[in-house]
Amino acid sequence: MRKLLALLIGISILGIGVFGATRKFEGVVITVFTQPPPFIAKPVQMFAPDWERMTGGTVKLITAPWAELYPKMYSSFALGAHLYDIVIFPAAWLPDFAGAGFLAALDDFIAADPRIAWEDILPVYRERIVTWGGKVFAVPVDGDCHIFYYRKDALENPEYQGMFKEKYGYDLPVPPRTWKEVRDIAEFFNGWDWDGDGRAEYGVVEARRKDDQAYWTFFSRAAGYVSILGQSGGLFFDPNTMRPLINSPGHVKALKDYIEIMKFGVPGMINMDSGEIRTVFAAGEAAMAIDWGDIGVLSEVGEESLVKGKVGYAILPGSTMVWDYKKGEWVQFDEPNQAPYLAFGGWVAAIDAKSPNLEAAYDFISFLASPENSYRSVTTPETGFNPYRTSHFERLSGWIGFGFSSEAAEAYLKAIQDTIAHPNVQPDLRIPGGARYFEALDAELALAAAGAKSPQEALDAVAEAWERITEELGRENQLKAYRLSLGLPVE
Amino acid sequence: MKGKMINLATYFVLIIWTMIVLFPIFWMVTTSFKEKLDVFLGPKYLPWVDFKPTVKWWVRIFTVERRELITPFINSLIVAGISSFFASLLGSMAAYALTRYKFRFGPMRNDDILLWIVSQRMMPPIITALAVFLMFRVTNLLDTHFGLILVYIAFNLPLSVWIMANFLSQIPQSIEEAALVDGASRAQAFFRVVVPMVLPSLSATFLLCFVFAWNEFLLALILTYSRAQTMPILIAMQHFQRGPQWWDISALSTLAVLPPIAITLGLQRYFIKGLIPIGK
Amino acid sequence: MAQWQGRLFLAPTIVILLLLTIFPFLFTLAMAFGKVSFEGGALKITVIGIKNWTRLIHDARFWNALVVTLKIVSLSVLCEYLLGLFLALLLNRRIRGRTFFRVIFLLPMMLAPIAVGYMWRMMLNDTRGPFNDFLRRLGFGAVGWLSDPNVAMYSIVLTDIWQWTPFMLLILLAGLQGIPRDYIEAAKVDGASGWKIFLYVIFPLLAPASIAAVFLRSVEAFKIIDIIYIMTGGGPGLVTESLTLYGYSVGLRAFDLAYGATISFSLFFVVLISSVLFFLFTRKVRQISLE
Repeated sequence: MRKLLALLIGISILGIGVFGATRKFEGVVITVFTQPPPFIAKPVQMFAPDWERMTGGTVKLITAPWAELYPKMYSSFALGAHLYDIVIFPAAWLPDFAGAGFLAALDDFIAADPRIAWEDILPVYRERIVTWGGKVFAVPVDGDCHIFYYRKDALENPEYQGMFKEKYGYDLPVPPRTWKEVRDIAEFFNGWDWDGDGRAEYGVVEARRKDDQAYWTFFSRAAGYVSILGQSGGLFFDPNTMRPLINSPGHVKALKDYIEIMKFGVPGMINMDSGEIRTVFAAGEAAMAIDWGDIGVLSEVGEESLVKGKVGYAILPGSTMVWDYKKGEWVQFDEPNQAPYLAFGGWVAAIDAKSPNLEAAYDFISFLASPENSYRSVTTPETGFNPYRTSHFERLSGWIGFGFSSEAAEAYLKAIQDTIAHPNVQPDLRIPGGARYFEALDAELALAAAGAKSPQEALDAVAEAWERITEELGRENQLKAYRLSLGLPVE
Repeated sequence: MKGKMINLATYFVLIIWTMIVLFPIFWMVTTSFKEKLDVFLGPKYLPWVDFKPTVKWWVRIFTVERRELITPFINSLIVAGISSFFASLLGSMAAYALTRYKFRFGPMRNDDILLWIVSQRMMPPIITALAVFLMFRVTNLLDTHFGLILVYIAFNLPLSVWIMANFLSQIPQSIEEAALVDGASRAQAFFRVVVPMVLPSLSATFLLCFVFAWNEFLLALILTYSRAQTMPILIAMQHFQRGPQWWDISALSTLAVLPPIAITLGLQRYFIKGLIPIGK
Repeated sequence: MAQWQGRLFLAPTIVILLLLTIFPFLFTLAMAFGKVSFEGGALKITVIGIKNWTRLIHDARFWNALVVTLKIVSLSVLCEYLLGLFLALLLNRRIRGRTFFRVIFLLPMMLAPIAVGYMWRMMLNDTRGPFNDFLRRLGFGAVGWLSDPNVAMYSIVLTDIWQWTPFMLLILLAGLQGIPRDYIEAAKVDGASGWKIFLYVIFPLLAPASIAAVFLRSVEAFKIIDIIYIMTGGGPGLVTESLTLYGYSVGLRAFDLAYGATISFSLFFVVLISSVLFFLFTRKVRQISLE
């Protein structure tokens, strides 16, 4: 009798094992929406099969071209179609989506989930970028910030350093720490063949194209001029009145630099988006660049790269003259004021509040973002994901396996970590209607870059447009949202 | 002698224009056979002369990415084919009615009706698309072939009505009247007498409708999301974070231009038929 | 004659168009005179009057886009018509290889505008493009085809001409083939020169096809967006920003739906007014052709 019982138990255990009757999400289909593979969507493809085997669920990946993500997500939420369970999108859109009630709050899920190792995620991402009104609405899957790139074979060449000193009267700084120095170096390395490949190279390459990512490059240049350590706001609005600071003398100076440097840029730079500048830098055409982590990856491991091992990495330069908006005057610093900028804020994964598959959707996100799997994501080519967890920076092995030399991996990770951990790091604009503020800015930046308006005129027009948008969306709400985004108390 | 000179001049011009037309297409086709560096360090012109061609992008499209390619390609064929067939058929019927009958809807006469129909094409698609999205959500037509076909018929009807009305108005009514006298119904007269006479313009209309539907981007983008996605969207997806993937864009664009070419070749003989003077 | 038969022929077209256009028309109209908000995750339109329109009138970017659009439309449609007519006349001659040329000449139209945009963006690139390479080889300086504010718009027009001349060609050729040869033969017998035959016989008889071609092409050209979006994104500055692109940026990128709808509607009015003018101008010709 006991034998029979044991047999029965044995069979039933076996049965569970074989037929997977306990699998958590048997038959559940979750749809994930993001941009097309490889970038961003690739990790979903990488980890979906494992998750499907473990849980019995199915992951369906749906994609749209980058420029259409926002309209498609917004229309899916706002027009009530609810086409997607999980959306993976740039953190800058979170206020729009969370503020309108489109996303599910994830705090309870995260609290009950040891796998996600929430504390391992760098504080700036877990505390600021994915939260809205005190609640967590998304899980970071990517860390994004602008860093500064330069060609070591150009800037560190003793012969060129000598020539530089002769011309400008000071030692060529490696890496440059002010935008003034960047300007001089760009001028120096512009229009001649300094790497001996028979073609002329140029000073810089930066995104300037209209309707793309140019405004992030602008804020990267502006931050050092207007953001003072310990003083909140300054980069976008006055956090007491919501008055736009975009036309402050500091911003105008940054825009002047932004325009002047184009003279020392790769021809046609005015029409280049971020994607294109990456290929230009990797093809060895420019001495310096501003970009997200992508240039580093493309330069060190891309099959088309001609600059492997020749790239230097640093945090964004700044300025010794800084505009203090509270005092309303320029302040002189002994050491350059540097303010790295978390442009874009990285990709985050969130769940439609009306999704019928909340639990399965969260489970997949948690699987995707777990320390082990995310380490694989950030160290695999063409995922477009950059490190965002403390543990990501601790192991070089993945980067080296990825194709980086250990030296390059160390320098690259250090620049990113220095940026994120910098005391004066500036998060991106995170308020509802963010896309509208940026759109208004983008058009005026384009006009100024083309010489159709002076920097002052252009930024005055932006300030006016921003005031109008704030009025339209409700000043009280916007002010509250802006203060929340800066971590300031709201009365 | 003079005729020969004119012929020579004609050929000269035609060949020049052929070169103008073909160069960008040549560029597209060759780019699909270039290594990334040959694109970035270009311009490189001739395969085997200044760059070594590679078939790796093509191989990838037909192997690794085959699944991503087949669905949009078939979707495009279904949607463009069916919608342009109905757009040209219904359009020429409407055009026929407008040129053979006198209508009065309130203050609107034939000319006004025609203008109203054509004016439907003036509406910028951007905002309209959102409204259609809303309608389709309610009627469950989002991301379906049927929905997209319906939209494309509506999108192409003004075009086909307008073109066909212009051509039909040129055809002397005496011919159909002869048929009518012989006891044919209006429908018979239309399909047996009129349609064969306007075949050249009808095939031109079909071709235009097909090309527009085949290449339409914005509506397809907003109204589909996975099952019914079409080729232009697949092409647009080849613009990544690391810049436009020129080689993939070129290969897919080359592939996408083949069906319209096939249709043009297929319709060639109807174009030629048009050389027979109408009315004889 | 049985009127109902005529109605039956017309009905499907009218029904389909009404079904798919009335609601979008009203919806867009409501947005253009309203304010769009999202409450509890649902879209809500509140009508607020002409506020969007006063903003439009004072919007320099709108006027710029309008001028850019008008320039692109008039320039490209004119060139496309002249070129298309010229080529159609040549192809209408009985020459060897006519079929070959016809298929070749129609090719550009068959490419997706997105693909065309990318091809030309590649070819017009400042440093890697063949155009500047040709110029360099011929000893000229490089031209900023897409990066020079004085040139970019013409590059867009050039691309548009390349792609859409075939459209004119197709319609005009079909029109030419509809012209009875007797008329031309008769004129020849009367001793008219080639030029006179064109001016007094072919051109007037071609008028309906010309009007159709120019009208349809213009309506399409007014809505130009794909090529610009890929090639320049509206830059440098705003020199290539068309109305549709502006409406797209405002409506779908910034998700300011109400103002985006206003811009779209203004474009609709512009096209409508131009069409009415065009119809008035060509009324005489059209009436003759309806004889």
